[in-house]
Amino acid sequence: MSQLPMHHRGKQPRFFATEGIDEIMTMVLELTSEIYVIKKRQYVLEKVAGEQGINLSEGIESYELNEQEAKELETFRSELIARVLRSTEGQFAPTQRLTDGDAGAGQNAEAA
Amino acid sequence: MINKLPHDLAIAPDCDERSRQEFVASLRHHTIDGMAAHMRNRYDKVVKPEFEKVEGREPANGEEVHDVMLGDTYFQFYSATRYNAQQMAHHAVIPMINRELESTNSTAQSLRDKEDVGGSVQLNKDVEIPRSVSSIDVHLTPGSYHGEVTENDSSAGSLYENFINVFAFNIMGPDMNDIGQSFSQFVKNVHPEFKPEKILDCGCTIGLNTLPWAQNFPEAEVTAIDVAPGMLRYGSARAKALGAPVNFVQMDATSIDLPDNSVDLVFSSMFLHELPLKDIRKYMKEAFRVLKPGGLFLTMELPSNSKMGPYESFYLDWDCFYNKEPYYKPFRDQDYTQLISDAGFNKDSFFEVELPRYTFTPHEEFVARAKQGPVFDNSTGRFSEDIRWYGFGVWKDAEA
Repeated sequence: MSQLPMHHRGKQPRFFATEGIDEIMTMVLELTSEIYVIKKRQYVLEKVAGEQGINLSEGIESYELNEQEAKELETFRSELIARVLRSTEGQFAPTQRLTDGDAGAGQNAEAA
Repeated sequence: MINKLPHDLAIAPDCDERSRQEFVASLRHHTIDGMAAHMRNRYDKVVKPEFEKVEGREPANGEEVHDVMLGDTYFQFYSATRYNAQQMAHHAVIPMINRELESTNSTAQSLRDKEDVGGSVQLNKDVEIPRSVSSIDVHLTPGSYHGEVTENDSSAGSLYENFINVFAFNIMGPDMNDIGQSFSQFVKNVHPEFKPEKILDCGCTIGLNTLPWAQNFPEAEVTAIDVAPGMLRYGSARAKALGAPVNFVQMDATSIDLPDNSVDLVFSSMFLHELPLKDIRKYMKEAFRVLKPGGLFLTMELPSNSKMGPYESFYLDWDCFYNKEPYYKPFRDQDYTQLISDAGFNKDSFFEVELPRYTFTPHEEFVARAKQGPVFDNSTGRFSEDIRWYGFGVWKDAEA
C-alpha cells in the first residue's frame, strides 16, 4: 500500500544570505524537538516508576557516582564535545594563526 | 494543547509521536506569539528608523516593509523557524497516519455507510483538480490537498485534520471549528430575521467550519463542496461521526452545479486566498447566480491590504512568499467591494465584520462585538490568542 509522502514538493525558501545556515536552522530545531522527546520519556518514566513504588527522581538527585562511573561520564562528555566541535578543529589548527600577516603564520600549518 | 480528535477517526500517536506534536505546537505558539512580537518591536525600534534615515519617509506599503526586512537577521530567524515549524507539523503526524492508513480508510467507509445520521457524499471523477491545487503542495502539504495514495482514500483529510490539530495549537477550539461557529453565530444573532433553508459552503476541505452551520441552523439543508475527493471522503465520515447532517459533493466552486436562485447562503472560509484572481471572479459570479434574491454571500478571509498598515500587510502576506500560497497577496491586494461588484452584487450592500472567537468569548460579549464594525488593528486576522476573524459579505438584492 502506498503511503503519504513526508516532504512537500518544490524548493524550500532560503532566508539566510550565507549558504548552509537555513539547513543548520532545520538541524537545530529538529534536535530541540528530539531533546523534548527524550525529556518527556524520562519524565513519564519517573512517574511510572513512582506509581510502582520507586521514587526515581529522589534516587537520581541523591545518587553519588563512584570513581569509575564519574570517569565513564567524563569520557562521554569529552567525546561528545570533541565530536560536536570537531569542525572548528579542522580549519583552525592550534599552530595556525587565524589572520594573515602574523609572524610565524603558516610555518607549522602543514604539521597541524 | 494537542486535543484528542473527538470522533472515531482519531489516531492514537505513540509516546514519541505525541511528544513531537506537542513540541511543534509549542514551537508554533512561540513563533506566532513571542517571535512575532519581538520582530514587530525590532521593526518599530530599529528597522523603520533606519529606513526613515535613508529614505526620509516611512515605508509606504507591505512590499517596502518586506524588502527592508529581508536583510534583517531577526526576520530571517523568525521566518526560518516558522517555515520549519510548518514542515515539522506535517512530519509529526504523517508517520501515524501512514501506520493507520488502512484502518482509517475502513473506519471512514463504515461511518459514511451509517444510516442513522443524515448527510451524504457524492464524488465525481469528471471534476478536474485545478492547477492551483495540483501543481504545488499548498501550505507545504506533502501531496497537496487533493492527494490520494490508495483506493477509497481518506488520508488527505486525515492529514489535514491532524495537521491543523498541531498547527492551530487550540486557537480554533477543540473541534477546530471556531471560524464556522463564529460566522454562523454572527448570522444567527446579528441577523435573526434571516432563516436560510439552503446553505452552501465552498472549498470546504473536511468540513471543519461547515458543521457549525448544520448545528446552528438545524432546519437548513447544508451542502459542502470541494474538488478534493480524499477530503470529502474523510469530511463526510467525520460529519457522520459527529452527528451533523451535511451533503458533501465533489464540485468546483468556479462551476457550481446548482440552479440559479436556489441557495440562501453561500459561505467560504480561508478559500479565496487559495484561488488565482480569475477563479475568484468566476466563483463570485457563480455565487451571485445561485443565490436567491435576498440571499447572503459571506466569506471569512484575511483583510485587504488597503485596510492594513504597511507592517500589518507585510506580516499577513508572509504565507504568500514562504508557505506555497502564491495567490495570497494578489487576492489581498484587491479592493473587495470592487470584486463583489464585478460579480453582480450591489456595492451598497457590502459589509465587513470582525468577530472574536465564539468558542472562547461569552455569548453576550460576542454578540455585542459582532454588531460593531471592524477596527483593522494588530489583532485583525493575525493568528494568535487575540485573533479577531475578519470577514466580508454582501446581500444579493431582493429584486435581482
